[in-house]
Formats: sequence, structure tokens, C-alpha cells
Amino acid sequence: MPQDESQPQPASRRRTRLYALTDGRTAAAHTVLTMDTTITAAVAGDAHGALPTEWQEILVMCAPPGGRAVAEIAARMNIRLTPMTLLLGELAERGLITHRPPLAASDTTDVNLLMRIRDNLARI
Amino acid sequence: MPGYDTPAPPDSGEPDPVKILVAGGFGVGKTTLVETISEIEPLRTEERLTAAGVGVDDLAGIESKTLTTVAMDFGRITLTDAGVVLYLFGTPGQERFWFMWDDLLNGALGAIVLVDTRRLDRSFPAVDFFESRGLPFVVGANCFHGEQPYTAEEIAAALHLRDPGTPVLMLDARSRTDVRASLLALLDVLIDRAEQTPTAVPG
Repeated sequence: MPQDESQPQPASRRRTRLYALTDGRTAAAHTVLTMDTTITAAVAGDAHGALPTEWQEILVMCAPPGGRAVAEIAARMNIRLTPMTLLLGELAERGLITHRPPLAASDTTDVNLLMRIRDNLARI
Repeated sequence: MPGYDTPAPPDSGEPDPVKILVAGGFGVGKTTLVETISEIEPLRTEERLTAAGVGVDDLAGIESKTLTTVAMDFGRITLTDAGVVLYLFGTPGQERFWFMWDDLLNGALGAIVLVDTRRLDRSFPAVDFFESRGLPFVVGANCFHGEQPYTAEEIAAALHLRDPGTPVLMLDARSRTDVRASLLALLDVLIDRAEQTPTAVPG
């Protein structure tokens, strides 16, 4: 029996509530993700039919190799940064994604790396 | 629960992410610059911030806080031969949102500070910010309508740049060649720095 005939679900895409996306979790996950973290799917997006649609969307978007930055995923999913990092933290804790921080400051002062970047940039 | 923390293996053969920041006052052309050089269509990442209003210490304080949505531009350039992917982050224009940048500053290669010479004061905070944090940057004077009445020397003097060697480039944020030239100028600054700094002892 329909419970809420008076409030039909809008056909347009709604902003899904955070607690639905994170399976009720509201506290920050163990995994600390920032907007510059790169996310790569650890499993195929269509391999888990039971996963929420948003989760599958992320897994498809972040298919290896390469992956996507948290900032890019948030923009494409039309989800703000803080809820996005919470959701991705949940996926990381379930082993569905891997994550990598950007290069550390010690790496970014490496002359050889900087020269490689410069040479490559000059050719794009 | 499997895999509480699952960082990718370090030698995965995937490009290493490297960050470059694009800063400057409101309306100076940051979004255009990121769009011009990025390999993907322009993306906007949003964050909702709570800004405390007046009278926050009374019991009705929660009502006096205002929610503000800030947006930043995101773009990327994959440099396959160099084995890196450059992430470009265009900052929110208002300096009061710069605390959002603490994560980004950590490990960032450097920044491009865009200035509009008709409103040079709007770019002072960005210059001060990166100078105080020690992040290398170049200045790009966006030439709206292809015109720029000032010389690079005049702009550098007006900005009171702490390091007189900071490059000041005339650019059109819509020109891929110009934007690439500003990135190359930034890389030149970084390479000079790295060559002057003795290599850290490994370990």
C-alpha cells in the first residue's frame, strides 16, 4: 500500500540525503581524504549490483588506471566537498576504492621531476 | 570489514598527482584560465561554509549564522611522459575563504596569481598569502580586450613583490599559448629554486 500518495516522488534527480549514501554513518571515517586525493576503483562498478547507484557511479568514474581527484568526483556528482569526502571515506573503508595523496613537498622539489614536467608541458 | 585503509601501491605506474593553484581577485579570469589549459571541460567543486554572523553568543545564535556556498574551479593536464597529472585548483576569490586552501598548499608545486591592472588591489591578498606561506608563484596580468596599459615592471612595483625576481607575465587567459607560457615560467622558477637548494639527505 502506498504510504505517501500525497507526496509523490519528484521525477527529477534529487539531492540524496547524506545518511542514505553513507549507510547511516555521520562521523568522519578513519580514512582522511582531501579534495586533492586521487581515488581509484578497486572493484568494477557493475560487479556489485546491490550497491547504491551513487556508489556504482563513483566506481565507474574512477575505473583504473588513472582514477579521479576528489574535487572532480564531487563536481561531477553534484555533491559538495564535505559530504563527498565522507561518502568516499565509507567506500575506502569497505575496500571498494583505493586512494593516493598528491606528491609530497619533498618530491616536488626534485629537479629531475620538475624538468620532466617542464619538457612535457612545452609539448602540449 | 576488509581493508580499513587501502592506499594504492606506490609503484602502480599511474601518473602522480601534482597540484598547481590559480589565485587572484574576484572576476580576474581564474575560471577562464583553468578552462583554457585543462584537458577536461570546466568543473566547479562546491563547498558549503558556515559564516558566523553578529550576535552568535545569544541563544538564538544558530539563526544568525549564514550558510555560504563557495565554488572552486578544477581542471587537469595529464603529462604522460613526465608521469604526472597536474591538478589545477582555482581558488575562491574572497580571501576569507582561504582557510580552505591549507590542504592544497601542502605539497603544491606553486601558483599563478592573476591580476587585473584596473583593480590591482584585489590581488594584493593573494600575493601576501603566498609570500607569507613561501609558495613560489608567478604573476599573470590578464589583458582584457588584448590591452595592457602598464609594463611588467610597473605592475611588479605596484604589487610590492617581496622577491623582485618573481616573473610578471602579460597574458590573455583565453590563449592556450599564453597560459602554457605562464605555467612554464612557474616551472622555471621552481627549477631555479630546486637547483639552489641542496638536496635533502635521503632517509
